[in-house]
Amino acid sequence: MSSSSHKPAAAALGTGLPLALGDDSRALAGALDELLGCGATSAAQTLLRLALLQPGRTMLWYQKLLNRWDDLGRPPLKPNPVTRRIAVLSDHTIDNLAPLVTALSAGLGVHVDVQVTAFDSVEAHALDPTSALHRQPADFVLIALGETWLHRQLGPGGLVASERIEQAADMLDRLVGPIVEHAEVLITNFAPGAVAVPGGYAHGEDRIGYAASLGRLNAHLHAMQSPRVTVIDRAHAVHAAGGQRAYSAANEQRAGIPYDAACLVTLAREVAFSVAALCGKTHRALVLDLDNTLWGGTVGDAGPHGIVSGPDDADGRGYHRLQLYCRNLTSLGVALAVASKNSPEVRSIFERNPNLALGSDDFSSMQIGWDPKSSSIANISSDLGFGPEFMLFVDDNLFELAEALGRHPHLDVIRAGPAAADTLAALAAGRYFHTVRITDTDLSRHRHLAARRAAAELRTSFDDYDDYLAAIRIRVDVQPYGEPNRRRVAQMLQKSNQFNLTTRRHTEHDLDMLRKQGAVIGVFSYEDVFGSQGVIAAVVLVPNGGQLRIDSWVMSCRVLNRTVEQAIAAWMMQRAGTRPLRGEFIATVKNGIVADLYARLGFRRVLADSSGDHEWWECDPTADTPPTHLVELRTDSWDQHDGQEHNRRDRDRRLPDAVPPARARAA
Amino acid sequence: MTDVFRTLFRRPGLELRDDMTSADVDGWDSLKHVSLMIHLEQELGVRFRSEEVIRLTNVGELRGLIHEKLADRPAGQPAGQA
Repeated sequence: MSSSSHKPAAAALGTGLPLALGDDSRALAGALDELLGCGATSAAQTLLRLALLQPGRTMLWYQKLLNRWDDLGRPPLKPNPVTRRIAVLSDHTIDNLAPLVTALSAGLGVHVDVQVTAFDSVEAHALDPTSALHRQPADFVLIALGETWLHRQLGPGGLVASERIEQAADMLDRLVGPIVEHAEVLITNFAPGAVAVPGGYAHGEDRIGYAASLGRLNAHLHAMQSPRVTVIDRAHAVHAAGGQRAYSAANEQRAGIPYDAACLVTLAREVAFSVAALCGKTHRALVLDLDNTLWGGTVGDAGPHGIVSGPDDADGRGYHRLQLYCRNLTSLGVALAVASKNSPEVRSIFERNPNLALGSDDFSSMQIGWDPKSSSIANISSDLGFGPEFMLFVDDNLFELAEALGRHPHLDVIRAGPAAADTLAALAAGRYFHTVRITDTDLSRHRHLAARRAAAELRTSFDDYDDYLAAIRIRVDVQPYGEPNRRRVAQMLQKSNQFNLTTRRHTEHDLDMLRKQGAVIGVFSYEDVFGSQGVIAAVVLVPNGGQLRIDSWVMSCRVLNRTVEQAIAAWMMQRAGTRPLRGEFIATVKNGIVADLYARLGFRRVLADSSGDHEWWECDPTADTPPTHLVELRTDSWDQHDGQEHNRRDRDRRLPDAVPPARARAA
Repeated sequence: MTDVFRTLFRRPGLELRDDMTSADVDGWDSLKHVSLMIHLEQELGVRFRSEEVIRLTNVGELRGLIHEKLADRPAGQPAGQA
């Protein structure tokens, strides 16, 4: 493999992606330095954006990324960014919110300039027509009222007179009134405070408890909403940051900041995603992988009823909840799509398996096949009529995420797992589909998209894909069959259904016997920049009347279409030496994906039985060129063992002839 | 600790000395000081009390306070955000 032709961007994405999705800010900084040093600016910006959008990191994480974005000259991290000025009016110190909102908004394609006024001056600024607020109008005015304002309006706690609550509500109207004349208003709702205030939900004729009065004010805020007034869910931000633990008495005492760092981060997220939603910059489609993302297990092996999903068992429940969450998104106008590497007929599972909370009607585009996921996402984009920058792609496999990002750098991604609950938590904490307004367009989008589903397929850009494969440095190590891998090899032969050429279910004992009789058993493990996948393929080669016959060949579908099968074929041709290499294909209901494998590898069909379900293919290693691949094939451990194996083969060449009976030759 | 200072003051080469005070670092005003404390609390998984912070006169004392806090922390408690 030559390294000069590799796309640095793809390689960079491969190594940098786990860091952008991780939490080690120093390692990420190093990766970004390296990328920028070698001119891979676009990849660096992609990672910067993905890192900015990660929920639940420390303030320092976002501050570092903001500094980096600044150092780069504030480049757009999403196509067609917009610029907005936000003025903040608050009864508490909220300056630390500004850099966080700026950082998060940048990741969403909104470049904001945040101006914070002196604290506890809300009324003065809002009601004084000569204040700076009115002289220098902003696009948005964020009004953040907390406990100081509440205590002034409602008193310190206990029971609150209804009259007083009405006056407070009135004050909210009077604050907002003059501002909506020249700016859109964002106003935070009221949350339970740092200390439980007496009063609770007590109910009297003309007065109610303190907690109940907060509820009334929140209801008033909700009623105030209009095309120019939006409520920011501060109560959710406090809850997400740990509820009562999100408050910091020390910050409050020394600086008038009621929150701790985690709560500033969640509050900034509410603000940034609301502004982005108002600017039309939030996500509109959720693209889901299936196996081990939307359900547990692999449908190709387990069958439509063997997957882990459903409300009735502990493991399935997590996936069930995730599916319900996704289905609920469609009610907000979010389009759901599938990008899965599976046989196309897998789509029928949504009708066949009653334990799935989603039906095929819930999806606006379904891409199930063996093409690269970047092609699936291009197809989804064409089906939905908007670009990948409006999509969130969820997959458990870093390879797939990086491959998709290589072609669609503005796509946002979440790595699914390890448990379904983790996927759901990441999806929900991200606030990606934050909705502030419901329009008829949103509600009809899903139906509209379902109608457009039959769209012309885009052609796959395999040049890009080859570059990607080369860049992620795939290494396949060939080992002899033996103690370290015999259980895994037998397990693959027992369980693999899809990439399984003959579906001969050899056990460990069978394999031991075959090897004693001179069979060559190659075991392949896979590694790329994302890490090792362990043993992913095995072949059983049987010397047979002057030929080398491929008795069995199994491979994990996770590594399909990465030219691993070509590399394995090239290795087998080498093993065959001067002998013809004979491949067998026995069709089953599940192994359709390898029906044309030997044809694709350049073998010629020499025989078939009368049913056509059993075929024999052949290639001549002395004349045929081995298939090209982008894999570094390591044979060190094989070569060590090969000397002994060779001697054994010379000693014992007597094996039963597996050439079929003469009647088959007629076909 | 150095990482927090470097990030907040945007000085990648900044080296901290124990005798350093706010006068030695450009931009170390009261607002930045509050940010510094909030970031340090989150990164190191400690909580400062107001009176402890008011007492501090230089970087060395801040470092001392942090060491004290980290030593007092129950074993096994992770640093940073929960």
